[in-house]
Amino acid sequence: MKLFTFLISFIMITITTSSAQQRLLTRNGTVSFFSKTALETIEAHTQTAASVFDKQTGQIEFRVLIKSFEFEKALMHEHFNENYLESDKFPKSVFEGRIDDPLKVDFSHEGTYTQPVTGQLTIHGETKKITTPVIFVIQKTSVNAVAEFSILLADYKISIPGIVKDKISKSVNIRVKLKYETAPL
Amino acid sequence: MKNWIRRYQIVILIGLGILAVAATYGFKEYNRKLPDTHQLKADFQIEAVDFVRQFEADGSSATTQYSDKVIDVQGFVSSVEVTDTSGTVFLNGGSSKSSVMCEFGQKTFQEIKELRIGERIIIKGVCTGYLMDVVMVRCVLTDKTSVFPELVFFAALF
Repeated sequence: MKLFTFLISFIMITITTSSAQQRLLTRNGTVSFFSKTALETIEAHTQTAASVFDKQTGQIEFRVLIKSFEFEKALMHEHFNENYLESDKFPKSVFEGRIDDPLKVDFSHEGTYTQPVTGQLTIHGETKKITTPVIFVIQKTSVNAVAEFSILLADYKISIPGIVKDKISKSVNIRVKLKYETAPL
Repeated sequence: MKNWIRRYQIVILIGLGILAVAATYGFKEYNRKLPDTHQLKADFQIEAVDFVRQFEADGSSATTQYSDKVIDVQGFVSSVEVTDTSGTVFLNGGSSKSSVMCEFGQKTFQEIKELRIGERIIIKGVCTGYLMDVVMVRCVLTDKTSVFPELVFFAALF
């Protein structure tokens, strides 16, 4: 009986430990975006993105609160939240996707892999399918995922009023940096 | 021509004056930065454990109440992460797995470098909502060694 109990406990601990290691998370990922025109460069950053990454299935999800983005100028911050992204109505932006071929990333050794990730990106209540190359850096105690891609504001029904139209680019560059702590390799 | 200018010179001067004021105001407003959190007055004072509990009990109601508000959060440091340009302090959320996550930017992250796990502190910041934790941005350290007034009273007895 004691042996049976021990075996069951051992098996359960092994399963939960390995699934805990399989599913990585970060609570303070970085998301930045840049808009560049002849008139002005606008950028905003946040270090509050939450993300879960399943190494086995290759599924990645990240969420960010629109109000967390910080701008240099207060007026831009206000217009961004009140008018362009309407953050009271649409408080979060979400990405849910998957590495196209997760087997191409070897998580058991240190290394760098660039692999396409495809998923659904939701901004301002609009969802669009995107595919972007992501650089995975496997280190001794962390996995870093970095992606850079562009979006068209019109795709997410983000409209910029005529008066400042020339100051904001129609396509905006987004950079995501997620660092997941792992058990040592 | 000269007579015309002379006759209306006061009006012209006033007009130019108004334009100058409007232009200065416009320039200042355009370049206005978000206020330094040290200068802001807190809308709420709350314990970290209670803060987390409220968001977990009713997320949408807590978001309506606290979103965009300046909050003084008091709690125990559960972890500190610092990079070259920023930092994050997590305040213990009690029995919950969630914490209050406080983001310190380029100008303020130096304040948190000396913090230790378990230290009781007050952080002032702007709440933006809840993801895996309650999220606070533009945070500053207000009081590292705060204790409840009751504890000070008891300490004074001995």
